[in-house]
Amino acid sequence: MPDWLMKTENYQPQPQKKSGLLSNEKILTNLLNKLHQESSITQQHQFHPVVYLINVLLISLVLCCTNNRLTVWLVALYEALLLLRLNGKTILKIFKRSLKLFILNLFLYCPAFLLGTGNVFFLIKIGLVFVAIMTYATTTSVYDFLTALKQLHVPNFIIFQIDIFVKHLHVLGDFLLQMLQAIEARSVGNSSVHNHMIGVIFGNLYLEMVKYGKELYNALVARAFTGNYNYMRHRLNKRDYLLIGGELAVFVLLII
Amino acid sequence: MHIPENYLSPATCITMFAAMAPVWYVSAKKVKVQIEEKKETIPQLGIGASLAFLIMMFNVPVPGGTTAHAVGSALLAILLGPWAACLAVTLALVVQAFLFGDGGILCIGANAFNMAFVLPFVGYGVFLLCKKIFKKGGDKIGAFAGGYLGIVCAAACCGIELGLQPLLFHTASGHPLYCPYPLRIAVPAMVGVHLIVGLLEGTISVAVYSYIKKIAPQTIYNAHDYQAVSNNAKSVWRKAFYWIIGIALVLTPLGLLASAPAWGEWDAQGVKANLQRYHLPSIVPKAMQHGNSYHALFDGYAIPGMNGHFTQALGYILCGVTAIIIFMLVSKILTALLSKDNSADK
Repeated sequence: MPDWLMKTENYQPQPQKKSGLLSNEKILTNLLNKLHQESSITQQHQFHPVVYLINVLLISLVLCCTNNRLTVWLVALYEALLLLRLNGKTILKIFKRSLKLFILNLFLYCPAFLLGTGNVFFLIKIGLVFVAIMTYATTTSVYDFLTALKQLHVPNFIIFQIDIFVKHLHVLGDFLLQMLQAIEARSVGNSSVHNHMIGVIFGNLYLEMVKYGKELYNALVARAFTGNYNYMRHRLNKRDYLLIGGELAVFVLLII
Repeated sequence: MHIPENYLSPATCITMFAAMAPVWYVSAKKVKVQIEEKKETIPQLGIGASLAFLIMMFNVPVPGGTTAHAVGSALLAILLGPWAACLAVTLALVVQAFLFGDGGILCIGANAFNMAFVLPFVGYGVFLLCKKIFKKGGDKIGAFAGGYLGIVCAAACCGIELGLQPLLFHTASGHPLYCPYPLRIAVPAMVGVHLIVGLLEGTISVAVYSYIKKIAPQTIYNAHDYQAVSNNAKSVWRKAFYWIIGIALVLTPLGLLASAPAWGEWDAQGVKANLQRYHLPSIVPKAMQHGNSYHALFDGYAIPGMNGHFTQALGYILCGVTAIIIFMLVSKILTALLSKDNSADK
């Protein structure tokens, strides 16, 4: 027996950082988990989808149009009152998301401050718009959003596209993750081949998407889907009338 | 009693922050334990902060042409416990300083020391002492005496902090750099004013305490085993406080009737005028001429650009509503954060 075979050696392979394409696996997994969590958010505001969407649009419009401090103050109070109806976790989530958007906005607005033309009041207004939008995005389900679009007479094909996009984001994301995992399972060592496979992966994804889309549409047609979203109807309740009252107040502020 | 910007030297401000840091730390620890036993503590903190904020908006005229206000810290200490009162009043002071320009931002440590530490702890100590000494009605006597002595002690501390400035920080020629009033003026002025305002603080403490004791006695701090308190009693407590806050909010414009600033809260011109009154050299201290000038968003609890009587009253109410909403939001967010921590611990 040669000597080298007699030597006991505890070889430990160096932990290698996942290269290129595979490094996205974790990001994709997190994204899918997040999408899954988001879809489990229950509706909290319990307002009529159209009334609430108009409310958000109106708040944004007033904030964009006015330079009056009192108006901004009143709108901020109105927004805060709407926020108070939610639970602490949702409020925290809304603030975190709004803060992220605000920081991005601040980054873009930085040159204005450096040139001495920055306006803090503008930033406050933008912050309030972000909070209004994030409140809507966090507390409204996609179905409610689509209902609002339908009742605002948005064409059916746009609603259909959004509907399909949101519903099948999970499916395609899952498919992409499975492909990445399959590549990782078949590859040994540190290979740069992964980077050349982007085209193959996304090509396959596209083909799968087309196939899936056709099957889905056929399934929908088989279930008497004609491309119309006529079943989306909600009735107004007491809360909605209260919100409409608030909207009218905001509208009056806009006129004043 | 809110010390404005430039009245205290930065060294004093840092010292007061350093003095308050361990108090805040221990308060946070104690309140965390309190929350584990009694989940409603956080919303109660928000409600308490709102109440203190509104009480502080009621300025009352006092002899000497100035005004003063009650704080409500002793009441909160009796109802929620001194540690919770410390945090609630600190929160109110921070919002007042940043949003409404009431009290300096650098002076938050000193203001918190007076109003969020000395006042509630002295008040609660006196309350406990009276409960032991007087067999009958000791708690009510304690609530009044706690509020009264608490605010007087806090005012004395405030007077000492202000009065030490000309002794410690002055120019080579002896002119004060910050607050120009020495101890012999600042302490009697602050204590004298609050000997009268103490009656108001005591009355508010005993009135609200008696009301809460009558309708929901189980909810008072350390009164009973809180686990045994029924949900009905908690709901009665909450409703009672909402009523008290609502009434206080509607009445806040009464604070505008006394429009003169409080003692030691003047601007540079006011300081100059009062120096003459106290027979001191009428030289405005340098810090007040060139010091830190922070303009809060809603300076002086007013709607920017509107000075009519009606708009002033509206501004006062709006400020109260704003503060209440902020405190409620903060308490909701804190509840969410703490429940997250607890679930992570488990």
